[in-house]
Amino acid sequence: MDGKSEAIIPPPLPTPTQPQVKAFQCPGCGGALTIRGLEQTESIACGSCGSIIDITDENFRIISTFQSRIKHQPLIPLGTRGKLRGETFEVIGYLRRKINVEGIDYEWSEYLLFNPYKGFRWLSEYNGHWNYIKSTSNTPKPQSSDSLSTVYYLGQPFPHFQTASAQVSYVLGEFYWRVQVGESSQVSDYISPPLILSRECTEKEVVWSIGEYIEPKTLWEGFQLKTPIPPKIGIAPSQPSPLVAQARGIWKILLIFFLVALFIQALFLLFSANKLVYQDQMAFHLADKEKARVTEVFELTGRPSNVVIKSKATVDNSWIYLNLALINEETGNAYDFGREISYYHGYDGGESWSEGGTSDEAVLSSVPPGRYYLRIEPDAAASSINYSIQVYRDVPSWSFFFMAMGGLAVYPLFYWWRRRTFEYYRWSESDHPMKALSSFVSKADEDD
Amino acid sequence: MSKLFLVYGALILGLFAFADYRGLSLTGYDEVKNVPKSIRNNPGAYRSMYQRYYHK
Repeated sequence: MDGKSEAIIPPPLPTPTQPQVKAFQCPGCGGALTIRGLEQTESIACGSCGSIIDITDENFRIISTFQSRIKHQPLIPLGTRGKLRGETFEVIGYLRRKINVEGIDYEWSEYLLFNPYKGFRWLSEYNGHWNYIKSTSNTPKPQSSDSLSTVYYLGQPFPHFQTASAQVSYVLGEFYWRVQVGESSQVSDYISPPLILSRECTEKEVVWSIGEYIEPKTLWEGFQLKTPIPPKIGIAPSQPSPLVAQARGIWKILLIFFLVALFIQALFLLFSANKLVYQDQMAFHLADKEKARVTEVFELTGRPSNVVIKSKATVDNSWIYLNLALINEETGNAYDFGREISYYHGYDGGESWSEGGTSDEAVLSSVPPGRYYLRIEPDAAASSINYSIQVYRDVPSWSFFFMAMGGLAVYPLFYWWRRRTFEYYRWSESDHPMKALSSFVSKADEDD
Repeated sequence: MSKLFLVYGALILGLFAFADYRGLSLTGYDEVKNVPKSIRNNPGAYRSMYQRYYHK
């Protein structure tokens, strides 16, 4: 010590040991077991003898054993490493869980993933559908005190899908708790595809986790698996609908089409001639020997367009039939047709009734321009009936506009039906199945 | 999907515009050719397809 101050150099920190897996023999059957969880896991299940071993115990005490008729093979083998969402994980545990609904067991697989820096994640698989799941500390807020209501997670609504008691039926590999076959928890699922929120409730704790639907192809690429991808069966709760993204576009296009159709109709209404080219008053007499007559010649101008023949008759509890032909004076082409005008009325049981009318309208389509006349041959039972004829050229019509609207609506309606069918099958396995469209039809029949 | 709807909708609108332009109609009629000019003087000689009618 020479009086001068000396910097105190702290001793070097010990070099951290590299994380290492630990291998040991199963105390039940002597089979080789590997611990990958780096002191973060508490139990390991032996796939050979069904022993579940407490790995926090220095003697590797067997906690329990289970018998399984089927030795399940995980689709992603234990020890497989892969990348998911840019992070590398290793599959360290595999278990099968089941719920019982109306006497039928529904089983699914869960894979425990581990990253020494990121912690634990889960993959769940059911009928070829996968979810990537992690625990969340953000507790969702329920809409009401009813546990079956919608919950809100980070401001997003998640309707309740299903609540059931889930039981572990098979285990393999490591877990961060002392897992036991037969242990159960109350599981409630809430969905907002592609997300799924799960609430697991045991005697000791309530744990929330958030999952996202993930395509099996992404998993197989991430884990570099060579086995064939199992096919998807049915529709998973969190499976995103391929039809949702297009919905807005289709309704927007329908609106544009509607406006275009309205514009076309407005153009025709504005520019149609709607010209009265002939009119006359006539009389039918039963006593006349020759009832057929011809009108004066009139001109139909412009492009080939429609001709509307309006007829009126003074029928009263009687009828008149008009045998009509629009004949081109030059070419000899005739448009032959017949129209009946009948009107009946009366008083029956305290109520008046009527049937038919005193006027009629016939439309001849696409008549070329030229000089025309009408041949009229009336027939009636009454002795005398007065009638009138008016002939209009190029009359605008609304019928094709409404037919076009109906035709345009078919596509979005079909699309809506497909979307609804998708959602129907999604919710069919939930606690809140949707009503089938056919049930609305049968109810309407019952009401009739 | 949207492209298919665009094509389908354009077809519907095209048919609608054509139907309105040509004044098409759903009413039925028959076309008869070569009606002689003498019918103007003798209307009874015309043989119509709708001549015989039975009132309901």
